Amino acid sequence: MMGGLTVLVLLMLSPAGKKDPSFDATTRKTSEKNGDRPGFFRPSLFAGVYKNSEKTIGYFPEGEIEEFVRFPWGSDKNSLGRTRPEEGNPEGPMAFRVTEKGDLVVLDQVNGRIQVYQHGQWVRSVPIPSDTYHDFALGADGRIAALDRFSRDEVVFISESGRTEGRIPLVGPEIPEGGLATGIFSLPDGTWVEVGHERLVRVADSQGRPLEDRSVMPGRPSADGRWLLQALREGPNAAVVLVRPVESPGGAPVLLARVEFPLPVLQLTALESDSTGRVYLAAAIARFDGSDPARVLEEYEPVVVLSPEGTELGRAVFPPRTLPEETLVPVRVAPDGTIYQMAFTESGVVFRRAVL
Amino acid sequence: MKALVSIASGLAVVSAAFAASAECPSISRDDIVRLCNQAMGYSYYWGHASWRTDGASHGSCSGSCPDCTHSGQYGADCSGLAGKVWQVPRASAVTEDYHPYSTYNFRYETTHWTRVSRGAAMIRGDALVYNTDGHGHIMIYDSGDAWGTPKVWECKGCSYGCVYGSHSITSSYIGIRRHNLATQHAQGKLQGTVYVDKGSGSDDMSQRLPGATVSTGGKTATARDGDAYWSFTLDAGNHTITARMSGYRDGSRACAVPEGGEAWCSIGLTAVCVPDCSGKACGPDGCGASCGSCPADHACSAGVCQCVPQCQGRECGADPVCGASCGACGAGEACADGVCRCQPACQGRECGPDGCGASCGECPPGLRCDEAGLCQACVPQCQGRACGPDPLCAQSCGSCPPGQQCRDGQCASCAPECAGRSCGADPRCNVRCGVCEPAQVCDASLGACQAIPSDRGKIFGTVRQRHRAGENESPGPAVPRASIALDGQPLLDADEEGYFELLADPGEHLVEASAAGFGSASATCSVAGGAHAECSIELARLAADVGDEIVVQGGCGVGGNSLSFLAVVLTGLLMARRRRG
Repeated sequence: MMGGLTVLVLLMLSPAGKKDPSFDATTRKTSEKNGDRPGFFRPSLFAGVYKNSEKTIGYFPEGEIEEFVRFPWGSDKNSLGRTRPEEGNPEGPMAFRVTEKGDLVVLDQVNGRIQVYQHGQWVRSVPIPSDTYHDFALGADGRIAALDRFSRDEVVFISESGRTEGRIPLVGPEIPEGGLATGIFSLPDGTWVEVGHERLVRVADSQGRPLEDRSVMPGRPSADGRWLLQALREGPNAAVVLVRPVESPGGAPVLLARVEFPLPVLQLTALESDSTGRVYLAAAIARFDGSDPARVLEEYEPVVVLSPEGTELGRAVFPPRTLPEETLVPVRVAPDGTIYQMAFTESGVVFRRAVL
Repeated sequence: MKALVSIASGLAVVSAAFAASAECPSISRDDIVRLCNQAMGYSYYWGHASWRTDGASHGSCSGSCPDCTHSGQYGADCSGLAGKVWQVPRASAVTEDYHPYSTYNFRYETTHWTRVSRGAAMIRGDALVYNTDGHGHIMIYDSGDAWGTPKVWECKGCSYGCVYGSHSITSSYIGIRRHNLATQHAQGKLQGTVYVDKGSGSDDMSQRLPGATVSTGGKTATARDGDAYWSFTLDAGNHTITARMSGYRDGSRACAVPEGGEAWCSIGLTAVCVPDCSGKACGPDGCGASCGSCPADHACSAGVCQCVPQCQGRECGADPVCGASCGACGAGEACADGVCRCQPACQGRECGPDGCGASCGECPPGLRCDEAGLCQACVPQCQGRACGPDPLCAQSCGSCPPGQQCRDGQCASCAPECAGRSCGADPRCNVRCGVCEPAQVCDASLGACQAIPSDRGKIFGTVRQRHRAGENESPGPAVPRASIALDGQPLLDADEEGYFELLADPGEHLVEASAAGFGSASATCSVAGGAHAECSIELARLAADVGDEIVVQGGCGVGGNSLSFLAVVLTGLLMARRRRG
């Protein structure tokens, strides 16, 4: 089924639609055959409605998806690290963020560093004290809070220069198991760790000091600061987004939207928001062969864009991430609403983005 | 250690052959979980699988495997953990360093396990495994979190050790389930939501019913706030779930609970309808019936019958049914039969526009209409003008001699264009280019003389001024541009030398001439088809005083068959004067 489909066409356009020569050194125009399953995805289709043979997978009225930068596997400054042991967990960069000014910040924990890129070009590296961090948050003062949820079960605060400024234990009140942490957030009142993709636990104050009484928020704060967002898988093919006002987090949640997917949901992969209050829900969806559960017939990673009122505005359908390397944060949304996906291929890491 | 590890693949082959000969021992899922929990905290030990039940002596790993360094006796790698907690292919104590399978075996063989679908089919104690190109990983599945991200037990790697937590995975991992699992107090999770069934079932679950009561067997739960989610842990098998909510009909579903797994069983409730006609005389009662109907010419609005104005074809005034206004007319308009009409504004005005496109009246000759709509004496403004109408009263300031044109009130010479023209007036200066012979008639458009048509007769002549009584008998001077009428119908003007010609049906005709400053005169002339008749006319100049006598005579000359002559015309005014005298 897949073999006859069209090979992935990679777009090399900037958001404005013009070729950006600054990306030439790190982007490639050729089709990527390893990791991107040929035929699943043709970016040029996403200016409108994209359907597979049976169902509407996504629609993206005024946007397009483009690959904007690639990094080969490796350890030099223009590379990102991967580990793929013979008998153990394979890893790529575990998380990334895009700052308000557009810097791409990648947690390259395999190489023990955080990489900062501007327009695809390396800017600086911030050393981190371990290769076991899975997420990080950027404080307003530039300080980095890194989450180690397995090895040392701690949050470590790192200065922009890479100096370790403090460590606080992860396990404690409201966090019984470090491995259940699913994200870390720097908010004005301190550092919060997400548990089980459901609730946030405040583990440190704004100075990075550990807290005896850890407060809990039922969800992630939205980028506009108004809501707490929760996403829950609901049945095999759907998910719901619940919201609560930040001012009254203990109140009853409101069902913002129920999102149906055309294929079974393997797992939700992102719940993001932008400064205008739009909400973004990403999911890895796939259909398996009924007679061979190991055989994937088709799969995608759609990002559903919801208005602040819960109306579905569009779906950006990214290519599936098919390699086994673990990552905790594969999809992010920048404050301006640009959607980013980090995907791994046999040759390196590719970052794609969709601009509404 | 490296030597031991390096033979992992060979060991797997050997172990697979051994395993094929016997069924693995029966264990329960709880056994698997218990063994997993014992292993947590132990170090990653590549190619090994052993730990202690008291949780002591974790050991440590450093470096990058397979070139890593391990200290201590205990620990496990990922496939070692899976083989040990699954107790395959045989039972082995956790303290026994026994590592029979690699991820290759788990991924590609099915000797003691079976592939299962990812997602909801995964049950605690199953495993997730990948193996590609000599690399692989395996984890023991616990459950999924809110996003569906698996929570797993795994010996993750040298830096991590054996840990429990959420692990985001891709489709490269497949699910496998151990054979010969003992049935034990088999329970599973049944979950769902309660929503308003709007007629489309689960296609529209957008409206939830938090607070609904959900029950099965002796268990009861309340649908939670927000998404109205509920869940039960139930024995595996079929269960009937019932949901209740005030204002809705009870709803029930039969759903199957998988052993150790989870299933969804959302329930839609339809609203119980209570007719609501309070304060309503008409319209829907909310349950598909009506609270009443309205009389003719009335419509229901918010439960009240309201008269519907009939304003079709009307733009103003009261509608004939309800008496309501159909609209108002603008300023200067009045409503008549539902239509706004312009009201003439002639009060106090005797002339000029009435505001509706008509006139309030015309002023007598010599008077003009001022801005107030009153007729006022008009003094022509001919200063500096020798000809043409004056701009105020539109009275003539004079006429130009032949060969000149009036331009902007001044006579200017004009060069006639008579080339190619033998008769009639030139198109530029309206000056005669010539006169045809009596037996021919002028085609004025071409300026060419042509034969008289056989079915018409030519009447021609000259308009001259009649001498006063006592003056000489020679012909008077020509009267230029006199107006010529035939049988009472104005027809043409004579040229600058008083000459005119016209075609008429054969027979007798009244030819009349008039010119400014002259009294009109007429003559009766007969003409035959194809023939011509001269019909000159003399005009008498109007007298400057009462004593003048003015006589106008007309005369016909015969160019064809017969001749009759009679022409005496007096103006009414002069006739009266003569009678008084």
